[in-house]
Amino acid sequence: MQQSVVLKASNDGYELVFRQAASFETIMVDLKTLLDRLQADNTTDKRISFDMDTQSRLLTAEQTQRVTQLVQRYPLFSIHKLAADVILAADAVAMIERSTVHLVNQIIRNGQVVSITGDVLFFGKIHEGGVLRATGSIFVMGEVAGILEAGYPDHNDAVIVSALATVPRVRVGELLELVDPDKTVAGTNVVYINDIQALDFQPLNQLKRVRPKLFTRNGGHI
Amino acid sequence: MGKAIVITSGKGGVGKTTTTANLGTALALMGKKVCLVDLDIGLRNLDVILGLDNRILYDIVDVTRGRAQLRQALVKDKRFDDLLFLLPAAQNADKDSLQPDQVRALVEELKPDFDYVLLDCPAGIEQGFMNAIAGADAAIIVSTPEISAIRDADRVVGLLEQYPLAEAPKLVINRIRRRMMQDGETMDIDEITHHLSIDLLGIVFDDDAVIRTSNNGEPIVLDPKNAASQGYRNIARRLLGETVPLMNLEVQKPGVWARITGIFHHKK
Repeated sequence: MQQSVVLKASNDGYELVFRQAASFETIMVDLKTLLDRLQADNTTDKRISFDMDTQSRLLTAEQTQRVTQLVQRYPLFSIHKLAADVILAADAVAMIERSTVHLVNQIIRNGQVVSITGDVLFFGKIHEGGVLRATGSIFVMGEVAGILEAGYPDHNDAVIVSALATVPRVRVGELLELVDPDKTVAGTNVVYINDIQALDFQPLNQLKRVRPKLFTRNGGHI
Repeated sequence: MGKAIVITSGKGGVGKTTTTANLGTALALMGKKVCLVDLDIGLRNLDVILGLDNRILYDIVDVTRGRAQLRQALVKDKRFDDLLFLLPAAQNADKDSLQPDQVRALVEELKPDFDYVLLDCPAGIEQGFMNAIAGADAAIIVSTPEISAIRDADRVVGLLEQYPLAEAPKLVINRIRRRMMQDGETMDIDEITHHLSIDLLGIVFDDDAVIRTSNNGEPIVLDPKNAASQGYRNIARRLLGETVPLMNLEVQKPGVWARITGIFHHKK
C-alpha cells in the first residue's frame, strides 16, 4: 500500500509530503512510524528540520497542533515549515483586496467614514468632516476638504498623494497630524513616514525616491 | 395613497417647523388633504405656529399607548375645509416614548386618508430623527445659508444615504438674506446646492413677517403677497409636479412711481 507520508530529500534538507488522498488519521499513524524509523536509523546527533507539505489540504489549528506535538516528541526533529499548496477562498479574496488599487468615486459627507482594504485612487469629493480611510495608500484626484487616513491602522509604508490646501488632518500608519501649511508644498504632496519615524511632506516628483517599491510591481508592460 | 415627507435638517433653528406648517398650509390651499405630524416630543411647536395649541385633546403618544384613537387625536384646522389636520407631539413624555416601528405604523394608517403626510423632525440625529425618517417616503432637508447649517445638512444627507428612503432627499434653502447673499457674505444658492449635491426644491427669503405671523398662529403662506409666502407656495407647486422658476434674488430698487408715492406716504 502506498504510504500516506512520503519522505523526500532535497538540497535544502528533508521534506515530508502528506498525501492528499489519505485521511488525516492515517497520516498521523504513518508519520509516527516514519519518524520512529528515522530516529532508529539516525546514528549521528545531527538535528533534522522538516519542511512539511500538506498538498491541497488545509490543516485546522487543532491538526497543526497534533502534528507539532508529535514531532516535538523526537528531540532531534523539528518543523521548519508547515505549508499547503492552497489557501482559504476568504484569504484569497482578502489578498486580492489588499493588492488592488480600488477606484472610488463618491461623496463622503460630514460624519461618514469610508474604509477600504487596499490602495485607493479617489475621484470623488470628501466634505468637511468626512473621512477616507484605507489600509493601503491613498491617491487623490478629486476634491478633499475632509480627513485622509492611509495605512490604517498601522501600515507605516503607506503614502498619501494629494493636494493638501483644504485638508485639515492626515494620518499615515500610526502617525496623525494637523496639516501645517508651512510644512506642505504647493500642489500635490506626498505624505509618508520618513526614516526618523515622523510624517514628512514632499512634492510629487519625490514619490519614486520616497517609496520605490510602489513602482516595482510586475505586469502592466506591453 | 398619500406620500409621507419628512422635513429635517440636523441643526436646530433653521425653520423645520415653520417650513412644515407653511408647506402643509400651502398644499391645503391648493386643495390637497394634508396631515402634519409633530415628532418633536417634549418640545412641540407646530401647533403654536398653526394657532391650534388650544385645541389639543390627545397627542401622538396617547395614540401609540392606546389611550386614544388616531381620529380622536387629529386636530382639524377650521380655516380649511377638512383639508388640514395636525397630529400633535406629546409635551410631557420622554423622548424615547416613540419607536420607529410605531411611527411607521401610524404613517401607514394616515396615508390612505391623506394626499400628504408631513413629518416635522426634531433637531439632532438621535432617536427623534430615526423615528421621523422611519415612516417617510421622501425627505426635505432645510438649511440656511450658514456654514454650520450646511455642515449639519451634509451630515443628514449622509445618514439618509445610510437609511435610504424611496426618493432622494431634496433641499430647501431657508431664511436667505438677499442682500448678504448678493454681497457674497454667505454662500450663494448654486454653491450650497453644488456642495450638498442634492436637488434644490426651493428657496425662501428671510422676512420679519414670518415671525410676526407665526406669533399670531397664522402661517405666512396665507399672505399671498409676501416674498417668503411665495417661496413656500412655489415649493408646494413643485411638490405637485409643476415647473416653477426660482425666485429672483435681486432686491428690487423702488421705481420712480414707488418713490413718488413713498414721498406722499412719508408726508402723511
